[in-house]
Amino acid sequence: MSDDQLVAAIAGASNDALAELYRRHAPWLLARLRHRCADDGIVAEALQDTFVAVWKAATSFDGRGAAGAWLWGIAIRQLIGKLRKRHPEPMVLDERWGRAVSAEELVLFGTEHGDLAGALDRLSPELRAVVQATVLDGLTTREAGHLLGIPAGTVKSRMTRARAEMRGALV
Amino acid sequence: MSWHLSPTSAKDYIGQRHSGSTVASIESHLPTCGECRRLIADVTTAANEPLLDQVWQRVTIALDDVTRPWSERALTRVGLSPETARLLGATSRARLSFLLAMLLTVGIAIVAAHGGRDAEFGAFLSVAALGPLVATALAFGRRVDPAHALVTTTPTSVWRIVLLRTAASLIPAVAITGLASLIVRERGWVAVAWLLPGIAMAVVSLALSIWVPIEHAALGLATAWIAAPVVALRPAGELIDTTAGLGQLVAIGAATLAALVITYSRSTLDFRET
Repeated sequence: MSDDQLVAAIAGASNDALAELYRRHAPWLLARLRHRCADDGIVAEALQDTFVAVWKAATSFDGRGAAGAWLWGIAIRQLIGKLRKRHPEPMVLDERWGRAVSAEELVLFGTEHGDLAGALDRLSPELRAVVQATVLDGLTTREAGHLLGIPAGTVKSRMTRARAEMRGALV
Repeated sequence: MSWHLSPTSAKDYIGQRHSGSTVASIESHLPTCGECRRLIADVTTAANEPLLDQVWQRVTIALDDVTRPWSERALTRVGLSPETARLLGATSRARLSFLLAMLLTVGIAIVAAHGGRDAEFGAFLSVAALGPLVATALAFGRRVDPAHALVTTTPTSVWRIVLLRTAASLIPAVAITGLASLIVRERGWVAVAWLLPGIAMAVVSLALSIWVPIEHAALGLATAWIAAPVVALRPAGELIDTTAGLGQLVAIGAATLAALVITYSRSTLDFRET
């Protein structure tokens, strides 16, 4: 059964379909949420509420986009909701952002992104977090601000700086 | 996509050991690639991640909560166990038709207050006293009770169920009829003269249900209650006086007797087959 069919079955209140969707998608959603938040308690809550929300909102899934993207859109917003309530330390900005890229990784992903990967990796951690939240997670300026624990205005100015730095690195 | 995750790469992603651009590549790939998601799932399972099972448990509990009717959720919130809430919730659904009947009682009360005549007030007292009886019959009757199958299979003491459901039926019945009494309050305390006979009939019907189906017991009692003044050919005014005085004592006596019968036979009490 495809993911789309599973979501349709969930809209028809099938518990088994939700269990199967969880089995397929919860692992990567968990890993991805953990890349955004270091607190496992908050991550667990966000993951739980994601699937409760899927149960309630399955009828609103129109099947035009990928089910995976739809799920992540719900999950990241659940996480932002939790972070907003708790005001914890902002997302993980750890050393992996500043770490040198291994040769294997360059070979593996180099063809896909070329110098863009290098330009992204050379950004400062704060700027890269903003690029990740707005470009990769597709969040609005305001949502990205909540995720990162910074004002929306700062998200905008950092995005402008990131764009300039990356353009400078590419030319 | 020209590439897929290797098992090593999946492990490094879960362990957060990739660089920012690699994470970006993987994360833009994952939402559209079922193959790589399966790899992440396999690696996570192999690593014995306990959080996945824990979260799933909590999801099922939360869903149970979502799918329960609001009445049961409200009861759990004020501190009742989910099982008790389910029992009371089912009882309250059985009471829906009964609530409509209670509204009729209120209607008669309004007419009685408006007309101010004894006949209408007598009718109000007659109908009002039937409230608790009908509520009890609806709460326990097999034919009208959607919770009957639930009760039959619930491993709780039958005695506890009887007490719980009697309370759940009587309290709203008495409350609504009590409100109706406010409408005819100029009659003084006689306006609540229905209360004791009403409760007495409810308890007596429960006691009778040891021997006969509770619907039959309730029907018999209700018929007797309505028929008594007709057979006695007493004017309504006189009837009200009787109900107010001697009637109250008779009601207390009957209720006590019935309660004793129920308590005495509680070990053999089996409402499952009434």
